Amino acid sequence: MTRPVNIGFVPLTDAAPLIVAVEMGFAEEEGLDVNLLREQNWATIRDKLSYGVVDAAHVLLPMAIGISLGLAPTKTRIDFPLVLNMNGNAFVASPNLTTALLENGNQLGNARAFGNALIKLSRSQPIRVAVPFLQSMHVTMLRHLITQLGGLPEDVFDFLVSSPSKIEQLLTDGDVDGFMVGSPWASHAVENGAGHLMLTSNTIWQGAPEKVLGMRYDWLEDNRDTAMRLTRAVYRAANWAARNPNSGVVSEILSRPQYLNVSSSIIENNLLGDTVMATSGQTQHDPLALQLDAKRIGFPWQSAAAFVAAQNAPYWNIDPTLAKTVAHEICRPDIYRQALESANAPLPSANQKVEGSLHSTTEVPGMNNPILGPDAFFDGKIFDPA
Amino acid sequence: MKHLHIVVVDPNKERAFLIVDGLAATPDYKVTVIGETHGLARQFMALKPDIILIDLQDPSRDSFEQIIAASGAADRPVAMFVDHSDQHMMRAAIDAGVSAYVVDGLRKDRITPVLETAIARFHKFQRTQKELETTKAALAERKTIDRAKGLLMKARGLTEEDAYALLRKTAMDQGRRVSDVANGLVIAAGLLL
Repeated sequence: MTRPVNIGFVPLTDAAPLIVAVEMGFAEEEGLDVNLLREQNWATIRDKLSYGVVDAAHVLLPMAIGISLGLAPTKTRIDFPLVLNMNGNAFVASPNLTTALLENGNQLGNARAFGNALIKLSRSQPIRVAVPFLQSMHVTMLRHLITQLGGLPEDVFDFLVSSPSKIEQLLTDGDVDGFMVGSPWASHAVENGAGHLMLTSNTIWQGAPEKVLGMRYDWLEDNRDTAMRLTRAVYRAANWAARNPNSGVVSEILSRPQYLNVSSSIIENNLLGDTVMATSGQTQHDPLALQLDAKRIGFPWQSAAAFVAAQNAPYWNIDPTLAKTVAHEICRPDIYRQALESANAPLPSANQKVEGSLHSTTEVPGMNNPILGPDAFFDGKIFDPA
Repeated sequence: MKHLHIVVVDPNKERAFLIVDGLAATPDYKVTVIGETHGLARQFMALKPDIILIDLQDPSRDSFEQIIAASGAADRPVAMFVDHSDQHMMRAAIDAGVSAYVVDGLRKDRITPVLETAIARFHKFQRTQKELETTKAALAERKTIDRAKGLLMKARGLTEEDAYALLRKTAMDQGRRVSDVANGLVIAAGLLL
């Protein structure tokens, strides 16, 4: 008997684990009949997930925390057993902003120089930046960058929300000075000559979880077996998608009209870690710019979610302790372990780690040899959850 | 009681008309339609709407939502959606593709009829669209069948009736639709001639 599951996604490269799970048969292997629903707005994902129109979704980590805290039309607990990717966002500046930033000491790909230039420039007026959602890693990381450099994010940025695939148009129309968006839309804009890429999000925090496999708590508890099958299917699909030789197939699938509807070469470059910085073709190679490798990044660390919750709490008018508590609750390492033991996944023995302390690839205690990539912040910040 | 100001954000003229038509029957509603959404989001709160209706999929919904949410900090607190307890109604709205934003403190009995109308009109619009597509497809099919009949009449000297009978028999033997067989014939004839 196959079990039907409705899953919402937004057209972005980091939806790959979900799309590949369906297209390459990983979901079918687990006896799941997955129906993928494409949504252009994150607000629609939020609404459909919280009202149960979909069972699970591609979710921004801060949005999962936000909905669970009641910062949504309806308060619903959204849990996640798996992180879908680390980083993958990039900041694109208009040609004018690019020049102005350079005049104020910006260096491409250097978070500190970029942040300082933004602070200096915003003294005359705030910089208009489009983001796909306010409860997002995009906003969280930009605010962190400014705060750590002694600036006030509310003075530096004037945020405007737009769906990822429409964000480039805002820059072209001159409605914003820049935007932060996920792959492939940043590269798409650069290829089109709309602007220049200033930095990728991993230069702010190497260990930033980006999207998660979100599920309504009620659905997860009522359908634990299905939820675990889904976790396994997506975990396997993510590892498959992250393997270098498969990037061609993955990008071909994602490029189809019903998914991202964008040239496969842009997606493939991002999957391989090649980021085109300027219309002149200047390219930067950094495999940490977008990580889908679930073996390394899939584990739902409570400490990372708690950090994101604590960062956002003041802007959401929420008590930071409450925000951290809820962030802990919605991480489901228990489901991760139970679902993935049979898939020989690395199972760390801890649920929390000191965020920002790893500067290189490190082996951590646990089963099946868990190895973590670097998770340092640009400013050397350490977040100790204890 | 003061007029309830309903702002409908919808670039689709036909659907906007359907919604307005449904709401206009009630005299204490004032309905404003915003058709051109680009760049308007930042000004539209000046209209002081009590209820805002937007297509769930509308690309400009994000910026409208941001403005509505931001205005919550000001003197007109706005809550997203209806009474948080009314899950059933909101699910129905999402299924129909409507997103609704309501000024906080507005009584539920004033909101419910507006939403019910919007949901019904969104559904009606979807049905009309589907009917239109079906009619168009049927017309196109009939044209193809007529052309195929004409080809058979000319090539094999058949009457119109016999030409259609032959198409139907072939379709039945092949387990295909008459229009598919006709389409195949028209394409093949185009290649041969």
